[in-house]
Amino acid sequence: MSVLDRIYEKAKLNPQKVAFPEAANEKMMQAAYETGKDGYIIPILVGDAEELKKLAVERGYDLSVFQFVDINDEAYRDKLIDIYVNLPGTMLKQKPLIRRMKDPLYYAMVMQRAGDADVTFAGIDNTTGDVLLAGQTVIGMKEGLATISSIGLADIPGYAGSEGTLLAIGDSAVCTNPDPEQLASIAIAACDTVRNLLDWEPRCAMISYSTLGSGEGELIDKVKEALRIANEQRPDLAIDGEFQLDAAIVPEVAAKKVKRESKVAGKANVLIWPDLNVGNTAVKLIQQFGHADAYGPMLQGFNSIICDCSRGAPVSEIKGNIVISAVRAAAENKA
Amino acid sequence: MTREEVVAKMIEYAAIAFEKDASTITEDTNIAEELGVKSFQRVTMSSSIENEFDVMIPVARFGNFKTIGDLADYVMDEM
Repeated sequence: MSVLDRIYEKAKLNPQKVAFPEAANEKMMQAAYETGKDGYIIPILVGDAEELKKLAVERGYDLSVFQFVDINDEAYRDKLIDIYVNLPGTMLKQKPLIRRMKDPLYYAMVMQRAGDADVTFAGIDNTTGDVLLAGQTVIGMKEGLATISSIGLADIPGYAGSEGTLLAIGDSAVCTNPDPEQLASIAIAACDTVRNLLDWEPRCAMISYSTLGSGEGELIDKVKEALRIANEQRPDLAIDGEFQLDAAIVPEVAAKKVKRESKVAGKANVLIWPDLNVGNTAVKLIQQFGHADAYGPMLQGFNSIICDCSRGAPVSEIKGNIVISAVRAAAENKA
Repeated sequence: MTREEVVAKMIEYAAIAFEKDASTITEDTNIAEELGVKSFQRVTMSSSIENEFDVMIPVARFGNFKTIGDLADYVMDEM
């Protein structure tokens, strides 16, 4: 059974309410329908309900699979706003909310923050910037984390690591040049993400071109400082470094280069890149030369789960990301 | 509301968003260089302004405002 099959099975055990603010989009509605019909999620289509119902009928879908939320329903909007503005830590007041909730993306996220949805799934019509901005404004950031970031899950044929062919990597998509505090936050959030999604015991390596002081310089100092902060903030997590990539994932190399006890060296299942130059290049190397399937990016650092899928994503990829988001949300709701 | 009052509000919101002592912020404070560039901090400040003045500041434009005074002038124009 592939990792994605396992995640699908997990989703079915506790289907989450996923809000779709771009449901008029044909691919998005198909993905919402198929994951809803098969019992992985409860799809909530957010927008002009009459238009969405009409489109769903035209496309041959059974309407009973969906829940529809009409953004023109002022009574429900006002109820959501009333709940939202009384929650601790929310940023917007009534008047700005009324204006912003004309946009289904903001409407869906207010629903989520108010407890009527578990996930907001977007990105096919909105840009990544739109989704991240709405998320930061409405959902907010998780306490103690210094940045929004992302991780991906690579399934690499022929790779025999500590989790078989799987490796979690981040950040390859969102946080461009993290400072030490932000880099620590990426590592901490990544550990929580893989634990929630895959039930792994995270072993997280902070990647550099140096292993335990074999090199010197400000680039390495940043990684070392991030490690110090991460260990201080979350001593319960196995986060270690700084390691070169091979020292992080190859036991024989770790045995030579890491001359102290480490729960991570040689058997890391989570790799944290020092910046986006490395992260973006690394994921493309894994895909191009390692022929890996890469799932994600999974956004992390928000108060609850939102997903920004690729605008060019096919329906199969959208479905995978919907289910991954739902499983993450189920785990967070349980915690 | 006078310009002085708007500037005072900007300083109050900047202190909260960027976690600085308000007494260290003036209308000449350079936002990017002296306060910060993190997007969440800018979102927090923009939200405070929108709540108080009903003026939306697109985060993409936030970087165009060099100083607290520049931001106050924009809000005055849009009010």
